[in-house]
Amino acid sequence: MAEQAHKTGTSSWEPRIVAFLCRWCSYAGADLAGVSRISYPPTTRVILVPCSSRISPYHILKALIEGADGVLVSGCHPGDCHYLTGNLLARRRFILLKRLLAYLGIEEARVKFSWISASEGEEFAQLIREVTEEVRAIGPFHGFLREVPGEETHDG
Amino acid sequence: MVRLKRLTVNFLVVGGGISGMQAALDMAEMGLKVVLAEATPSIGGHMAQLDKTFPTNDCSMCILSPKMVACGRDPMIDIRTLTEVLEVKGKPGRYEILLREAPRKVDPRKCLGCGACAKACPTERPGTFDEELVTAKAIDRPFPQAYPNAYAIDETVCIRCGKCVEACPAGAIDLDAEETFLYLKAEGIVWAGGYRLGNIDALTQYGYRQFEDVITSLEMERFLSSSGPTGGKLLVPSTGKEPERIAFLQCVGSRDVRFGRPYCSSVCCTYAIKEALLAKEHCSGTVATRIFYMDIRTQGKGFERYYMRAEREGVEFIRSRVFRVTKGGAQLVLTYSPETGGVREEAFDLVVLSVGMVPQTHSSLETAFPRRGPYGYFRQIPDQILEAQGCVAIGATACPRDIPESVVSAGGAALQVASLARTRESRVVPPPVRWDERNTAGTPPRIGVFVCHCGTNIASVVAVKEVREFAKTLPNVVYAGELLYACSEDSQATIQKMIDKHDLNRVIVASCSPRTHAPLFQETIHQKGLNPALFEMANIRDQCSWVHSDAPREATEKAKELVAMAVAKVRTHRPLIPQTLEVNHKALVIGGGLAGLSAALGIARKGFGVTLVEQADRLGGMAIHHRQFWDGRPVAPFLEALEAAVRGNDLVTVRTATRITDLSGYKGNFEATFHGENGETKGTFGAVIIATGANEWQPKGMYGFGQDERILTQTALSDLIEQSPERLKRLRRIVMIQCVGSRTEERPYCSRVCCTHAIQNALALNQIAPEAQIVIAYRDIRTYGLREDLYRTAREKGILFVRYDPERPPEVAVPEDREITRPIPVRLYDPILETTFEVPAQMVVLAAATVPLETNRELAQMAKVTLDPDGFFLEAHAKLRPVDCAMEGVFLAGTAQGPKDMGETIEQAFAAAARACGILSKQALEGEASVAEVDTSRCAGCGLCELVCPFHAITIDDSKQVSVVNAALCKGCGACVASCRNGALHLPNTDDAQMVDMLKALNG
Amino acid sequence: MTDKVSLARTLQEVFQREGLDGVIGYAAGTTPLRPRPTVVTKPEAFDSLVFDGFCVQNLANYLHRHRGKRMGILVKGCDRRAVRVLVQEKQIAREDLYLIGIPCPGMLNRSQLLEEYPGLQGDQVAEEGDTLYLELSGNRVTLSRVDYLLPTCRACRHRVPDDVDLLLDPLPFTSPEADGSLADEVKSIAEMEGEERAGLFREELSRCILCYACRNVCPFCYCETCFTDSLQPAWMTPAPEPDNIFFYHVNRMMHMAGRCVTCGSCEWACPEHIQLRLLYGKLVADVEELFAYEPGLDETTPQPLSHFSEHDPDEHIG
Repeated sequence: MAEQAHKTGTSSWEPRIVAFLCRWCSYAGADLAGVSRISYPPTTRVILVPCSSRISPYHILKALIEGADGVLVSGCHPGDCHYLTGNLLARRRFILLKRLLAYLGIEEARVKFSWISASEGEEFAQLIREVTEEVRAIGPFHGFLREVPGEETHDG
Repeated sequence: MVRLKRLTVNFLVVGGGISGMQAALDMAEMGLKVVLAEATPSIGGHMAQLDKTFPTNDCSMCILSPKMVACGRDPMIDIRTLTEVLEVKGKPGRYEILLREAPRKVDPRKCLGCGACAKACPTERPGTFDEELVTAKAIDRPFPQAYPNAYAIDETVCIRCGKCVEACPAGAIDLDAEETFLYLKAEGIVWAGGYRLGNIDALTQYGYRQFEDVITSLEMERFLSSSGPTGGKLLVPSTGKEPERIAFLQCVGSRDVRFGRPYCSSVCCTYAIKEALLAKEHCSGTVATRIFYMDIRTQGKGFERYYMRAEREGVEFIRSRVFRVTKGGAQLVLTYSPETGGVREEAFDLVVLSVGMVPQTHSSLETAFPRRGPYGYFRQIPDQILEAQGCVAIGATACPRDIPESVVSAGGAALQVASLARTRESRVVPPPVRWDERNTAGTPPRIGVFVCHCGTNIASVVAVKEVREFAKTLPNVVYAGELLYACSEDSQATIQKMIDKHDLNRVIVASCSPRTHAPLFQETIHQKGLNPALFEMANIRDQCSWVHSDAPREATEKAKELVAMAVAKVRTHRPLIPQTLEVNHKALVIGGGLAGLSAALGIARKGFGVTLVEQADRLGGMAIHHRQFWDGRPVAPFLEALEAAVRGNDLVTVRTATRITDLSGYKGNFEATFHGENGETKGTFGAVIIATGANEWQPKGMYGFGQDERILTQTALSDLIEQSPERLKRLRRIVMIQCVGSRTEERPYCSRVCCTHAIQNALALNQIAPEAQIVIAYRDIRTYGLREDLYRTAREKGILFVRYDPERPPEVAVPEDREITRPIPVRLYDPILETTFEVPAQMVVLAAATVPLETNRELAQMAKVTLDPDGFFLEAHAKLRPVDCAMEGVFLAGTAQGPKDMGETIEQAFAAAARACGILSKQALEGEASVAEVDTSRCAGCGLCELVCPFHAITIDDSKQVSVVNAALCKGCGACVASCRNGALHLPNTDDAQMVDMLKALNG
Repeated sequence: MTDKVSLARTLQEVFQREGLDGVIGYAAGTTPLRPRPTVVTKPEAFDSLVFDGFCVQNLANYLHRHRGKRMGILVKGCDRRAVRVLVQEKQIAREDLYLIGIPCPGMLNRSQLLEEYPGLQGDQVAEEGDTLYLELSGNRVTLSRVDYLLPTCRACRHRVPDDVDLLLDPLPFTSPEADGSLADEVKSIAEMEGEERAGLFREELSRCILCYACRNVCPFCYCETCFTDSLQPAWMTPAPEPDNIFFYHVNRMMHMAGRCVTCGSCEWACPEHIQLRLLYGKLVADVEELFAYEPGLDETTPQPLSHFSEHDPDEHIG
């Protein structure tokens, strides 16, 4: 829809962030932010998943390819996982991915992992603010293995 | 006019804290109908107030909230808030109870939880949920996760101005609503009133209420909580700055004879450690945290490690009782006497009082309870399990205790009273009704989108009409409409009408959170023959209007995209029908000690078959070595009666001298292979209880153990006291050494029972040989809870307690010649007096550690359960699932799970039995609707999924070289799907293809 | 390098004595300096087998299609480790295999030789111990073998296959010490500025034509349908466009975590000479650093992405 406006890098550009949230903690944290009316930037599009371990590198890269400027994956804190240890399994998978992406020259801020619990509404809002700010600072995502066009800067 | 409702249920549970909730849930699992009466507007109790829980630092609300929702959803549980018991009549099996339900004045079915009423309300009152640290309005919801999730009016302060009625967009408020009386017929009552912090106003020396910066431990919890009055920022109330020095004062109103509360509150040491650790986490600077204590009592599972961690992380522990707290400048000054003598003063910014627990009282209920323990507690006694009970008190009303112990007591009580219901209720509960579903296979998706205004909650920010019009343009959407309140009754009718009118086969509601509302809408479409899985929500309230009210345009765009994503996803949803699994209605209990016997009795009395397997050729386990329960009741007659009851029950098959050689299967259907006198046999069971016990460590080489028979363990001493007390008559000097092999690097846990055991034996020796001098060398005396009375008695009787540091343990010099008349010199270093003295002992008694069985590993592998780092069986969750295993259908009882005393063992055995009966009570079990599926054409059988599955739900079929998902075990987490390189695993309706569709929709 | 006759005789003898259904080895190929993997199933065919410094391709890749048969297989250090990973992943049974181990001197860099000596043919190259002789139209050139090793072989720490059924006699060469060249290469890239690094990989990976030669040569790419070809979900399209290329390589790397034995086959197979070792060298280094795991060394330790530890690093969780 607003694809062009999104990608032109004009001052009105706002990042678009896909957030994969686990049902039991992080999605509940987002709900709590809502119930508590804590304002945060309208940049995220939430995809509800059962557990952070449901997320593979496929989803993260695909989200970026399909137009996201940043991806957030959030699960329960260690110990809180509804599925006992899914988040710990995910943690391993993600650190490797995170390192490989950084090595290949992808800005670290593009992909973010976090733990948010059901009682952390304010923390959730703060996380979205931070992620938005960080992605805003590095600018739109133009696709993998593509040169960043022009001398535009995105100072946020 | 008085409104009176008559209800007949199986049981009444009074108190909606974690204990009451768990008791209600366990009874509901057994197919019994329960009224859960709670005096406040929401269930949840104290646990809802806590920030984190020890020793794992889990978020309290995160683990509690699913339980609250489960209680709310369970059709067998009728939750009555603002309700009190007025009168109880009758006897076990036939109680008549009168209850009063105060008017909430807000209809929970209509209340949207939007908070407009509270905003409009002019009347303020102290907010009880936040320990009165902030004010709340007369109309209020105690906390966002409350259940019922609705506001309530506090009648006592409401001025009936009517502002809330005007403000309420849903018409949910009725100021003239009146109280209702409930006339209840029930078979039994569970009293789960919980505790309150004791009133410490008389303890003026601590400066509470006098100085703002002296706070209670519960106030501290609220300060630490991110939903608390400071949003999780720990600030000194008087200055608003982060504290640099925090003091925790232990035993405030506990272990205090003069104050009338001589008992130990059991939980304060560990919660103070938790709060100190969290304070360090919360404060950006380096905060000094000092805990002033008498004995550190970290006797629970994992607590000692927690204590050691706190020491490592710099929490300081000072063994001293603080005399007084005064003000010195901006700071608080503590005056105390350190162990080394003298008087010291020290300044702190914040003082946290670890205030002791007091049981809740309820005069109109108490008459129904036959037994009442000391200090207002309704302590349970072991004999009670020998017959079904009509009234049981649980949780912190029974004795001071922590959450897992409360949960255990709840399960135990559930079975105690549930046994009454056996004859009247059909034993096995049929699965819930399913509506006839129409076959949607092969028909193209016809999606209906319903966009909710939520009054003005959504519509004031999001342009609902625009979202609706946009939805119409999306593929396969054949209808899009608006609803004022999607969750209201008339909206359900509208949705159903539109399903008919437009022949919808998929429904999307764009409103609030699927976590709270999906079940409602799914039921709505199910009634119209649509499988509940053909539904999706877009959360445009919690994720749009409520959080982007300052950006309505963006909120609307976002709402549109969320709807587009939901449409993209639901298009390929397919109906899901949870698998039903036949249940075998027999249980297997492994281990014939106290735990196994108790569990077997509990299950049999509920009417289910039990096979009790014991490796030895007799029953009774370690209990035969114990003389007394901690309260002095003799063990032998009880054990005899218990064994007789078990052996005499036709439903129990006892198999001694039998070992389990194989165990396979899953919840509802386990298969065990036994090896016994009759060779190898097999059996099928619906549930398994592991009650294999633990051992007393034989401390060879420590303190001369094994070199002189006068150096013996406490258990050996118990046997002597029981069997040949005359041999002890002439003893004049006895030294007991505590923590032998416990609380060490090798075994960083407390064995929990040894302090009480030693003191009991010391008191018995004192009776046998009154002139004997008994010295107990200890590190911390851990006579937790009501056991503190024993400690006090022992000191009164002149038993000498000498503390030792682990760095300078007692030295026992075994005499060279084994002349029995020659005493054994024991050298003790007293860190208080800083001197060493020698006791020429005639007997040295070692409190040896409780150690796990070496065979645990083998059994754990067979049962697919896990051991903790110390080698005991690991529970599914330290707090809320203390008798469950990660492997469903396997439960833990007794010391197999960790050190505990006999009363605790019996209670846990009953809790495990209750959980097992929850499974056995069902005709069939329903699995998860969305479980992983294998595309065998793609599967290479590499086994990765098998390894990553936390529930052991996947195995590799070696003959076909493909993985097989056991739908009975799968919980639908999707870890396997994300791990599979081959793309062979799928999670229906959260599948990769659907996630790609959603991402593509995002791109428009 | 190995005496062709004695190799054939030994393998033939093993074949008959062990009653094998076949032996997987190398035969001279049609392309110069590219021996091709072959399966010998008849006693008389063993004469075709060769082994020299150009036998790069990981033979474990050929085991899948002979599952259930009793196979002999010639294994270098890396082939051995790959076999072990495949056993660990239940793709083959160890007892079905007869492993003939060859202490590996490290494989030679064909491209480097061809670049320096264009038109070089296989029969012009002779290996003797640490020395390489090239017979160039009557002109004999003597080279030091170690200067012409493949970068992955240079860094190899496991040249001698362990736990084999027959270990061929150590050949007359000095096994070069594993050097840190690959690790250094990876490290120096990791230390580059972000944009410079991005540029390097943009340059490397942009050459990818998604021919999947790297996948096809890899013993671990045994999926029935690769994610690249999946239609439901359609993760990517076959068009060699940057997003597809990146998606392919990153996900393939993730699939190789805890499995890649750095045999170098993928880089060797790439027609575009993409330096894939720079990707997999990094992966292997990270796996080792984060999870203290080196693939293919023992069958019982589970692969790192199949489990977890409570003490795993948390640095990436923000």
